[in-house]
Amino acid sequence: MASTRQIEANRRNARNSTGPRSTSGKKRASQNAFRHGLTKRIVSAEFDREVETLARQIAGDTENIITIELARGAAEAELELARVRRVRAALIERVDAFGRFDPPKSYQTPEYEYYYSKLVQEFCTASWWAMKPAVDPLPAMPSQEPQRTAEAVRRILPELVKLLRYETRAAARRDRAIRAMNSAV
Amino acid sequence: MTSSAKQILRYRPTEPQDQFASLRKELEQEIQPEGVIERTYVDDIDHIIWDIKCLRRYKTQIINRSRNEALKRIILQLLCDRDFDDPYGQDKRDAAADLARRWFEDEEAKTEVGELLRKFQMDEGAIEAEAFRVRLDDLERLDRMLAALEFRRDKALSCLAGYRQMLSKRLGQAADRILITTRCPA
Repeated sequence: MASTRQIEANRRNARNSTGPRSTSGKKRASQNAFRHGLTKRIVSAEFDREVETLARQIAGDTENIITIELARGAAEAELELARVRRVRAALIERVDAFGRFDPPKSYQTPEYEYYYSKLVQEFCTASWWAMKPAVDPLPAMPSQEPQRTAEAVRRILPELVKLLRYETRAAARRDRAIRAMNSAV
Repeated sequence: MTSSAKQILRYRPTEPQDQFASLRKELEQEIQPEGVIERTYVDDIDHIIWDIKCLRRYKTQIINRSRNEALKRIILQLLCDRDFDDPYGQDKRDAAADLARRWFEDEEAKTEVGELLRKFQMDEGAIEAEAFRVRLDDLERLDRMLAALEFRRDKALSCLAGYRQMLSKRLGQAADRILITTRCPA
């Protein structure tokens, strides 16, 4: 257990740790909890217009405010579903093209990687070069379809599982709203 | 429906469009949706069924693709079993990789591997099992996704049925009200 002196010292030190002070530091720290951004509510005039149009179609010709509000919830969830499907397709496309999301971690930038490989090629013998471990530990993507897409899907399965969970929640929100709307009429 | 909700969003934009369209047509013929809500459910069911089909296809391809790796591992194990001095030497790795590569195109290599397997009381089922083992984490994730999608499909179908039931009840009540309030001509 910590002594009183230790607790006091800890408190004194904690007073100095007040987080980032510069504007850029604060901006960076504000994104600390950011993962995929899907749970963030979309705020855009276009999205709101789409929600309103779909909500009107779902609600039909009623003027009941509660029904319209519930239809708005259903519409929002339905558009979220469309969004998550777009995100999923885009992620698979990206991995299909590059084989991964991030560049290999051995180098800070692709330029470093390029210059390092040039340097090694210039100064080292072929046998030494052949003994070097591969920069990219992932095997090459298959060149033929549909194996290529299957491999891309396999590589991002953890992300796909999360997206599916998100999609399921959006569908449940929509179903709940439609059920409530039906009972409210 | 709005443009973005109507947009055909497949598992991947390059998936065959005609198959997706024919699945949609079949579903619409079967369910015959009326109104936006029913069409929304049909749209969802359509996407879910398509996703299930895609994932099942990917599952098979993932297993097929891991066969080479599985074969390499099994052959290496069989070749190294009795050699305690240098069990996993580079020459054995090369031989295993070469035999595994040839197994897919060469009948002789197939026979050679078959004999090697029989020597240890195994058959080609061992390759299948190893292919599964190599990709067990991925397959487990895929299965979880498939189970979740199947659950969602059933739920969407029951929601659609519930919506129809509620709608028919409401329509019945409305018809009763009209009958009560409307005077019949004498």
